[in-house]
Amino acid sequence: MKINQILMCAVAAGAMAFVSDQAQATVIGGNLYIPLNIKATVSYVKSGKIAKATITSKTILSYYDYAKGTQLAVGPDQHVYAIGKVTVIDDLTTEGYFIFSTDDLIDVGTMTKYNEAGTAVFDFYSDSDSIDFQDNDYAFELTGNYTYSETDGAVKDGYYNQSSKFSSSNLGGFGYDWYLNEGDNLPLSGSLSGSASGKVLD
Amino acid sequence: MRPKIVIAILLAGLAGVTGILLIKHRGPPPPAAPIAITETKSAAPRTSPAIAIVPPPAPVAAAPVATNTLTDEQRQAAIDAETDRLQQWSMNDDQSSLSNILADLTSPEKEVRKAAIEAAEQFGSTNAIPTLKALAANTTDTEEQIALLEAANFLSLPSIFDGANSTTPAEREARRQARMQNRSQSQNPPAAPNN
Repeated sequence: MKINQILMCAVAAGAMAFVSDQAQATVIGGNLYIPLNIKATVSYVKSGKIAKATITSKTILSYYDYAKGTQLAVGPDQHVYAIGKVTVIDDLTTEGYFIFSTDDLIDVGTMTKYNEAGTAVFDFYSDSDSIDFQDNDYAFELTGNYTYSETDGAVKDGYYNQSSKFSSSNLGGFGYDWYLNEGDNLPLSGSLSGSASGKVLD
Repeated sequence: MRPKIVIAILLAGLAGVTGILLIKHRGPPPPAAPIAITETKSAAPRTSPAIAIVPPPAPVAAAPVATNTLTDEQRQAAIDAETDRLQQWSMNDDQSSLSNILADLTSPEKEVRKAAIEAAEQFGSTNAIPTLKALAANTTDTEEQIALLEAANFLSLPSIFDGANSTTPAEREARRQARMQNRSQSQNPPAAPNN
């Protein structure tokens, strides 16, 4: 099953919150959320030399003063969400801060295993202005190849274990940082990954 | 009454009185009961012969045998669960979470070690750098060695959001409002004055 299908409707159609602690973080209200590990490095000129600064999911959430333990995750409709252990806090795509899209170019699968690969685009706008990077304090766009894999366990008592993994390394792009280099975009490199597992209804 | 009968009655009476006296002077119950209570309440290891016949604990080498009995599905479920925990720990700021992440850097499961490296990067503490470098020096897995060293280097860099710390939220909001106003004006230029 394609990642966007998974995230848009498949789990919503029947997946239910599971009983274990580990599943509570990724199955909320019957929907699967894949926590995202954003790791990026932006290059800029400092004192006549090229220096680097980092971006992570955690520093983004800290920038907005989310409580410790809050996670950035991809969920229904391929939106990016801020989630707690048992609740969805904010839909950050609807609010204009993130855009995440995938284009699967190849896929292969069986009833229990599915794999796809394609290109992914991940945008961030700190002031929710996607028209112009420089209308934000911070903004970036990462693009590149990704892989997605899903394994489904055997059905037992009407439930089965679903394990989903998303990986996207060697991403490239550009970013904007009003504090570092007002007026110019900066080269950016990074990776995006995430995994989620839980027991869902057959 | 004949003397023989009197003597027999006296002897019988004496025997009866002696018996009663012996029963009365038997004393308190044996101390076994209090000892038994004390042993029951004690948390110390019991040393009664009954315990001594319990077989000794299995040797340490038996543990991997138990691990090997996991099915592939169970093993993967355990890895997934630990990966989920690592993701949660990486979003905390406490020492306990960092310790858990660093402990998983030496997990026997490569997938967990990889997730632990990512968690260390997300956690964002420079306190993890010495451990990452030490493990990189001791691993023979080149790919993992590179990942550990890259993570150590990543943690040594500043965050782009450090710049925002130099301004107040009010200043940031004022700048945002100014940008919005500029954009609004560029999209809707004021009408030319009528002459």
